[in-house]
Amino acid sequence: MNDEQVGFNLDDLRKLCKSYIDYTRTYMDRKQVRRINKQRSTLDNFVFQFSSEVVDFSSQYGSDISISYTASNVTGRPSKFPNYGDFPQSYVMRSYGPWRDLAPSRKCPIMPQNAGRIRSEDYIILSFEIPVVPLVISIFETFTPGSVVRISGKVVDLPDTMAWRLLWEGLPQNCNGLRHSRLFAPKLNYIKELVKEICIEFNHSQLDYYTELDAVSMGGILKYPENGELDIISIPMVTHTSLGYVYDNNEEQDQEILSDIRVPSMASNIPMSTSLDPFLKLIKNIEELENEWRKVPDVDYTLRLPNESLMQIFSYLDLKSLRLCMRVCKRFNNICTDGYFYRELNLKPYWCSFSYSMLISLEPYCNQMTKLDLSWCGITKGILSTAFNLFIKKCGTNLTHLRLDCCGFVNDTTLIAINLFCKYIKELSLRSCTSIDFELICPPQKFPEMERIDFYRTNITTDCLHFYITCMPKLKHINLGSCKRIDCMDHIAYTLSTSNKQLVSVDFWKSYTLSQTGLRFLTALKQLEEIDLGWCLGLSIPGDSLLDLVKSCPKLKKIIVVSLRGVSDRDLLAFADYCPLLEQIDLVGLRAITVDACSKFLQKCKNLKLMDVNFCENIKEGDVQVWRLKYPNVCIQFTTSDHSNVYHY
Amino acid sequence: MPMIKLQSSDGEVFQVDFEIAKASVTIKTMVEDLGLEEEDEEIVPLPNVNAGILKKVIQWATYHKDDPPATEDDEGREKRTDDISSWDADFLKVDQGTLFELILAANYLDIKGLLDVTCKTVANMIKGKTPEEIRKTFNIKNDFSPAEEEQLCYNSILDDKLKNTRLKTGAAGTLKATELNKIFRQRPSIEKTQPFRFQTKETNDLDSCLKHNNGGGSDVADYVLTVENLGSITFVMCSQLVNNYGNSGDQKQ
Repeated sequence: MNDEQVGFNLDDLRKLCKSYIDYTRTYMDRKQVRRINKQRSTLDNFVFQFSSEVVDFSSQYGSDISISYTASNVTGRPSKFPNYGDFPQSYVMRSYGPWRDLAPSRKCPIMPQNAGRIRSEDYIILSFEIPVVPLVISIFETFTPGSVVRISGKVVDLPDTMAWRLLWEGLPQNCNGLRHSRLFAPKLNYIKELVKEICIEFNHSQLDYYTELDAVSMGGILKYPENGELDIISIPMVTHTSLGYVYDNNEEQDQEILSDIRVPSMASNIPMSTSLDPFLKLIKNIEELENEWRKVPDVDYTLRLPNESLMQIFSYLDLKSLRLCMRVCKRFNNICTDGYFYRELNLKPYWCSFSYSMLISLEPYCNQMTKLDLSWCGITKGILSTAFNLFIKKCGTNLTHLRLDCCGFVNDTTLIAINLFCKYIKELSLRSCTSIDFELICPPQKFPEMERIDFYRTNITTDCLHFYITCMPKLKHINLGSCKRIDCMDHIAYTLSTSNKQLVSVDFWKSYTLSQTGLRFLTALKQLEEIDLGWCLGLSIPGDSLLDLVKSCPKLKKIIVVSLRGVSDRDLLAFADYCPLLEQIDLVGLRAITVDACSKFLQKCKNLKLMDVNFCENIKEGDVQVWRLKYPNVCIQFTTSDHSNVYHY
Repeated sequence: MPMIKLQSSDGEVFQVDFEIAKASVTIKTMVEDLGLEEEDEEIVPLPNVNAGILKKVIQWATYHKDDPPATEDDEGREKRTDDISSWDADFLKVDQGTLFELILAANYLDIKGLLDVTCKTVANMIKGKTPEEIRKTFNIKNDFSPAEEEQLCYNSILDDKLKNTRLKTGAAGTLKATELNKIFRQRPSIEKTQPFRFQTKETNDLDSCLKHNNGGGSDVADYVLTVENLGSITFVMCSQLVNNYGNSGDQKQ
C-alpha cells in the first residue's frame, strides 16, 4: 500500500490521530486530577527533598577547583529559579547542538545501532538524604531547557548491577522557542522500591545553547502502601509559592508547569468537543489495510536468502536483538555467532546492568573485536580492574578503538594492560577516569598507532603525560581539558611540538599553566585544525603568541578563546586573515573586541558557521540582529548579560 | 535521454531511462563492458529477476534517481534503522515474498540504496521480538531439539567447565537449596549429589540474580552461568546478559 493508492501518507495520518487522542486524554486526566485533588487529603508519609550530593557525573563546564558552572551547583534548593538566564551558580555541561560532531575532533560512532532511539551524551548521579518510593522528580532548568532524556533510580539495598530502574525516558526536546525557566517533572514509571540515588541522562543535540540546571528534587513516600495499591491520582503536586517550592495539593495553582506536554500545534487547534470516534475508526481502517502485508507467510522466505544477505540484515540489529536471534533456529544461530557482528561492541547503553559476566558471555565471539565502548560501565561497579585486564589480554589484540569514559575500574594496571596487549590501538578515551593515579610513569612499550587520546578530567601528571605523548608518534587528537595535576603545560606544549607534528586537534580547556611561551611552541604544528584555549588563565594576556599561532596554522577550523580577556581586535582580524577555513569560533567574555572588528571578521570568514559573542561588553543586541540578517548561514550566539529576558512567574 | 531495454527472467521487456538504470552497478558495468550504443536494439537480460520485481525495482530507482551517490565509506556507516523515509516505508509495505525477492534483486543488481532499505525493513521486523515471535513472523521452523534449546541459554563450554571444576567452600556464603534446585532443574547434567559450594566475591550478585524475576516485565531473561578461573580465584556468576532496559528505545510504544 503506498501513497498513490491511499491518497495520503499513512504514517503521518496515524501520527496525527494518535497525538490528538493522546492530547485529549492528557487534558482530561489533568482536569480530573485537579478536581480530585481538592477532595483528597495529603498522601501519608510523603517526603519532598532536594538532592544533597553529587555522586558522579560525566562532564562539567567549570573546573574541579572552582564553583562556577560545576556539578555541585545542582544540589540543595534552587538558587536562581524561576529566573531565566546564564548563571554561574548552575550546573552546565560541555556541549550543545551539533557543533561537536561538526568539529575536526569529532569521534566516530561505535555500534550506533545499539544506542537505540534515545541516545545519551552526559549523565549526573545525585543522591538524596531520605530513601523514598519516587513519585515525582522535578528538574529545575534555568537556561535552554530540553536535554533531559532519561531518569533512572537506584534501589537501595541491592547490588549495584541489579539496582537501577528506569523511571522515565523520552526524546530530547527542542524548547528553543521557550525563553523562560522550566520545571521539568515528567510522569514517572511507578516502582515499589525505595530509591536514594538517581541518574539523569542528557542529550544536548536539540539545544541551541548550553543547558543550565539549578536543582533537582524528588518527592515520594517512605513506604509502599501495605495493600499494594497506590492511588496515583492522589499524588501531591509540586507547586511554586512565594516561599519556595513545596508540594501542596490544596492550593489552586496553575499546573501547566508540572509536566511539559508538547503536542503538535495542529492538534491543539482541534476543538475539544470533537468526538474521537471517527479518528479511532480511521486508525482501525489503516491497521486493517496494513494487516494485509503484516500477515504471516505460508512459506519461510528467509530460506531463499543467502547467508550474506542475512548477515547484512543482522548487521542492523542491536546486541539484545542479536542475542535473541541466536535462539530462533540453527541457521540463525550459526550466523549470529559469527565474530563479524562483534567487531564493534558498545555496551554503554547497557551501563545500568553491566557486570563482568556480561563481558565474559560475549568473550567467545570477540576474537575479531576492533572497537569497544565501555563508557559509563563502571557506574555499577560490576567489574574489577584485574578481570578487565584479563579480558583485554584475551580479546584486545585487534582493538583499534577503546572508550572507557567515567569507568572507575580503570587504574594504572589497566593502562599497562592496554599498552601491552593492544598493539594496534588508535583511540583511547579515558574521560573522567579519576581512579587512575598515573604513578607508573613510563609506559613499557610505544603506542605506535595511537591517533587519539582523551585525558579530560583525569589526574595525569606532567611527567607521565610527557612520556605518553613521546611514545605516540602518530598522535592526531589530544584532549587535556581540566587535567588539574599538570603543573607545567608549557612543557607539554613543547613536547607536543617536537614529537607530535601531525597533531590536528588539541584541547587545553582550563589549563591554567599554559602561557605565551607554550603557545609559541605550538606554532610548529602546521596540521592543527582545532585548538581549545578556553579559560587558560595563564594566557589572559596572549600578547603576540596567538597571532604567531594563527599565522603558522592556516588549517584552523575551530578556535576557542573563551575568557582570554587580552584577546584584541588585532587577534580577531588575524584569525580571519590567516585561517580561511575557520568554521567555529568561541569569543565568550572577550571585553576588548569591538563591533567593527567583528563585522570585518564576519565579512572575511566565508566558511564561518558558529560565532559565540556572549558577554562581549562592546557588542549590543542590535549589532547581533544586523549580523544575523546579513549572515544567515552563521549561528551567532548572544544572550544579553543583564538578564533583561528573565522570566518571572 | 538514452533509453535501455531490460528483460526480466519471464521474458517481459522494460524500456528504462539509462540514468535510472545506472542505479544498478550490475547494469551499469554490463552496458559499459558490452559497449552498448544509444541506438542499439540490444536487450540486457536479467535472468534472476522476474517482471513483477523488476517493475518494483524500476519504480524505486525512478523515485530515487536524484539521490546523492552512495559513499563507499563503510567504516563509520550509520547502522540506524529508524531513518527509513516514509515513501520507502510505504513502498516496502509488501508481502514477505516480495520483500525478500527485492533483497535478492537488489543484491544481484547491486543497488546499494535499495539493499540497505530492504535489509533495514527486515531488521525492524526482528528487533525487540522473542525467538518465538521471530519464528512466527517469518514462519521459521524451530529445528533445535529441546536439549539443544536449553543448551543455548547457557554457554556450553563453560558448562562443561562447571561440571569438572571442583569448587571449594567459600567464606562469602553458600547458595540456598532452592536456588541450587533451580539450577539443577535447568541443568540436569549436573549431578544433584555433588556438593556445590561457591567461592566467590559475587555471592550476593549470584543470589539476587537467580531471584531476580526480570524486573520491568521484559519477555526474555538471558541468563548466563559461567565459571572462570582467574589465577587462584574462581568466579562463579550467573547473571542476566542484557537487562530489560538497555535498548528501551525499541520497546517504548
